[in-house]
Amino acid sequence: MLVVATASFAAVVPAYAGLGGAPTYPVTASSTSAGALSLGDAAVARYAASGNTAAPAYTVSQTTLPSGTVVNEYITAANTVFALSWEGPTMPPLKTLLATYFPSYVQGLTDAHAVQGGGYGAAVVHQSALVVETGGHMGSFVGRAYLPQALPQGVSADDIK
Amino acid sequence: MRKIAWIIAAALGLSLAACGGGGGGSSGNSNTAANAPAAASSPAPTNTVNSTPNVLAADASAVPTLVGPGNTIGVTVSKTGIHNQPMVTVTLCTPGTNASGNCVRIPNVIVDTASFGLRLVSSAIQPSTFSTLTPEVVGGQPLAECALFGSGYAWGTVHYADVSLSGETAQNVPIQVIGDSTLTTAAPSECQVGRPLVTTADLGANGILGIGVSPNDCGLACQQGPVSTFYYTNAGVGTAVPINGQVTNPVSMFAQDNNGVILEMAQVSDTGSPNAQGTLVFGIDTQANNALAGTSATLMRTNGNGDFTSMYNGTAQTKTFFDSGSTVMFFPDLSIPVDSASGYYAPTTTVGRTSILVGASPASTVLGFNIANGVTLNASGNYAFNNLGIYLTRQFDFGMPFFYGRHVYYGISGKASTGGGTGPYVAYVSS
Repeated sequence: MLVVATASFAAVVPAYAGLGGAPTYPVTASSTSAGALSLGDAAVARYAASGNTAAPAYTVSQTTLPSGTVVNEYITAANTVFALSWEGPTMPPLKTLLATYFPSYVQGLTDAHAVQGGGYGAAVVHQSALVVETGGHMGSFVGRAYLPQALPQGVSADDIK
Repeated sequence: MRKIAWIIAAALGLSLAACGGGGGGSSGNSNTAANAPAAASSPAPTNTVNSTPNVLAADASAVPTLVGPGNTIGVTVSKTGIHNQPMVTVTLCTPGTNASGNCVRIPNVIVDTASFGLRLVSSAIQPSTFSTLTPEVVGGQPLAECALFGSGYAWGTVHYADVSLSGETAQNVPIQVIGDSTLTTAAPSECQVGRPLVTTADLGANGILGIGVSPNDCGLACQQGPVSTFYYTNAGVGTAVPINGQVTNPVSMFAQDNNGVILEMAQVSDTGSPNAQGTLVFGIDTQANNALAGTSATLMRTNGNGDFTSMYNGTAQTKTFFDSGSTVMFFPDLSIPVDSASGYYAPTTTVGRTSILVGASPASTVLGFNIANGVTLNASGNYAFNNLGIYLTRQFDFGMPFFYGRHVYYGISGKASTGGGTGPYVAYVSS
């Protein structure tokens, strides 16, 4: 695998897009089409661990879907998505965004349903390799998903919002 | 919206304290990792957030109005599917008959104050009635839609029906029929956000009665053009739908008592009750039994989906809402231990907490609630709980536990009441 230069995110191309792979949405300065940004005015923000701004540990790429839902993809320096979050009037396309992790997520939901006998709304799925927290309600959704084993050094789940 | 309180651990095992292990994640003492609530199996964390003594909130004590008048219907929480699931019986009839033709009573329909519209599983509707429910057609094509929830989705057709609830009647209501076998096209990929909801077993109920503040499940955007994850032809092509053809909150179409609802549940035991009873009241300030004016209710104006803002532990929660379709309180509190296997908050003894409803009328209000050990509650064999919670960030969901001992009002957008003004708004009394 190539060593990625700090200024470039294109040296390695993962085999697929989605969680654990390449970003689903284009990572550009104008990724965002509308809406107030929790990250300030930049559509793409680069974060360093422990204030070391010379070597960003990860990047957050924010995209606003046509429905108004905002999706944040958290991207390592090696251009892989280790987390994502969403907020807005519609659910984001989780089957696409969770990619190879989607079947495991659905299986987790199915197992819980078998035990609890109901449920289709807010849920928290905690597996060793995948955490999904989905909340809100019709018209107002919020949630996040991350790979606990792929969080960059110094990054915690609290940073995913 | 319907929510359920379950946490799952995959067969590979779960370790919240080791979140990020294997090369990444938090450093330092993982028992106090800021990224995850501490597991209950570890020593209970010192409550460094608040050094004042644990003060329990007094249980709410309002009593439901009697079921009997035509604007009331009984609500039951009992051993059906998951706990804390309020159910009513809905009467469904041939459209345009003033709810008199081929009527069928459909029990075990979830009362959901944070979703909008009536959705019924096809198999729960007797065929002689279902065959008379006119399919909705847009642009010459039978209409379908995705109803997305936090962890599941329902792909179904849209039909017109007359709906009656006790003495109230709505004619020609667009409803969603889930699991309609005539819908052979697969759900669009963008709709597949979790578990597919096709059968009554998938739902744990025969349907969902969405009676929140929005009169429909989409609004102007879906009238102006196709919006992803909402309406499609039955061939899966996105389509616009006029507002009056969108799946509609049946209450807003009643001939009277149509400006909102009040959900009134009797209080339950702090250690859980086998079941719970209550009354769903139609109309606000329209009858002798649905007054808001003159009560000491706390009222919040909401956005079109029923959200308002609260402050919790110094953080503003802009997605705060009262949701009868959530079986627990979902909110973020790192000072309460969590059972890693189930995800429930599991303090060794019940803890008291407070939320500040900042925009409330007549004044900003402190709302107290308690959280008990969810593992103990879940093992009790009971089905109604007023103090069950789960950790979830970036929103504050007062679920079913909040409703016991309260009258909770929902004012529909654009409709007015004497005591609430024009909706959308929510309000409650606790005694």
